[in-house]
Amino acid sequence: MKDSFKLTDEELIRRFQAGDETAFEEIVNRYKNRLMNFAYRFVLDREEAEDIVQDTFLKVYQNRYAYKEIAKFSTWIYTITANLAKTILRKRRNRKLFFFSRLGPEDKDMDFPSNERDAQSKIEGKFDEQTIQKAIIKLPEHFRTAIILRDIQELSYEEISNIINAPLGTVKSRINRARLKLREDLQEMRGNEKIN
Amino acid sequence: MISCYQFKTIISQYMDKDISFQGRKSFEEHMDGCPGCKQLYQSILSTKNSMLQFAEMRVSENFLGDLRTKILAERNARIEASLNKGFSLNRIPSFAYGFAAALVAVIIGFYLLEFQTGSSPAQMPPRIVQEKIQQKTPDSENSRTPPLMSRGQYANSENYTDSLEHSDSQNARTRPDFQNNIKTVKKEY
Repeated sequence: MKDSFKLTDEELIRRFQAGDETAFEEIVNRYKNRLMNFAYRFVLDREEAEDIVQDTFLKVYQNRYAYKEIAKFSTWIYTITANLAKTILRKRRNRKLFFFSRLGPEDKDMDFPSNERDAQSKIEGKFDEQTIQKAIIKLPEHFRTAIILRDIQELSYEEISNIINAPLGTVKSRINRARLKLREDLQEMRGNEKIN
Repeated sequence: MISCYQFKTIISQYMDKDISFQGRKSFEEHMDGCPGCKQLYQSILSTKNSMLQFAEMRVSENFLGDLRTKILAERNARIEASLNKGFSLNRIPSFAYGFAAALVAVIIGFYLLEFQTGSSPAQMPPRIVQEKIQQKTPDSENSRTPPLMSRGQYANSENYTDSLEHSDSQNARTRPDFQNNIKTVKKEY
């Protein structure tokens, strides 16, 4: 598909619905890293995040005719990923309850992507990626979704409103409260670090 | 001048430039006069900017291959399942059940109606139909047809049933020409 870069996502899915498999490949190439980033920030586990992204594309493949051009394609695919990520978290919580384990995702050793900026940030007194990510994962699920979609994925309020299926006003206030809560948690974590 | 609480509620609107001119002015005025709120704003802004610079996560190299395998496996599993299933009630579409139930209800209703009209002597045609019948039936049959009844008498149909038992009008009503007459009059009516 040479001219695929000119096509919009909606045109690509239309082609895929008409039986063009190369359009699906193009969709995968466009979204795989974006969704990986989103899923990883949500579950903080590389393997699980990759499974979520694969399952998302599998669902898109199977339910291609379920997409109607009422909403943007990006909204649709992010909704699928968000729902799958929430399911993974729910399963994880149930597993945790079942085994009476006190090891949560926040307590595990996590594989963070290496970031040279972190060292510099510490000197400047800012919070590094690992610390912020740890604080994000501790946020309640609805705050976490909102803050990842807005501040990491840089989606608009309208898109977030469609993805999480909440009114625009709710989304705005949720993002505000999530940012305040994140800041509070980060301050708390810094305080604990100093004590230790 | 806004309060610290109000400042906190509009902090994201200011950050995302989703605020009115007046709101923006009040926000900045408050920030200039309140060091605590200024620090809060700068701290949140700094975290927000840090998040934008997070390292991008990328899928592994064999992601596409794995996805292709997954899609093929799922497709094969579906085909296999449909071949092995044979007859199953699950494969009958749900609307077929509704249609069958409606059909059965219609058939039962039809038979019930048929049974009622054939056996119940208490059911009489309306007064106007009776009048027409009386006009149409020959004189010989006039003696056999039941007498014209008022609306009140219809309600008390037991008397009418009793009178039928003593007369042979029941036989007259079951005769085919009498039934044909009823049908013709009903049509006209």
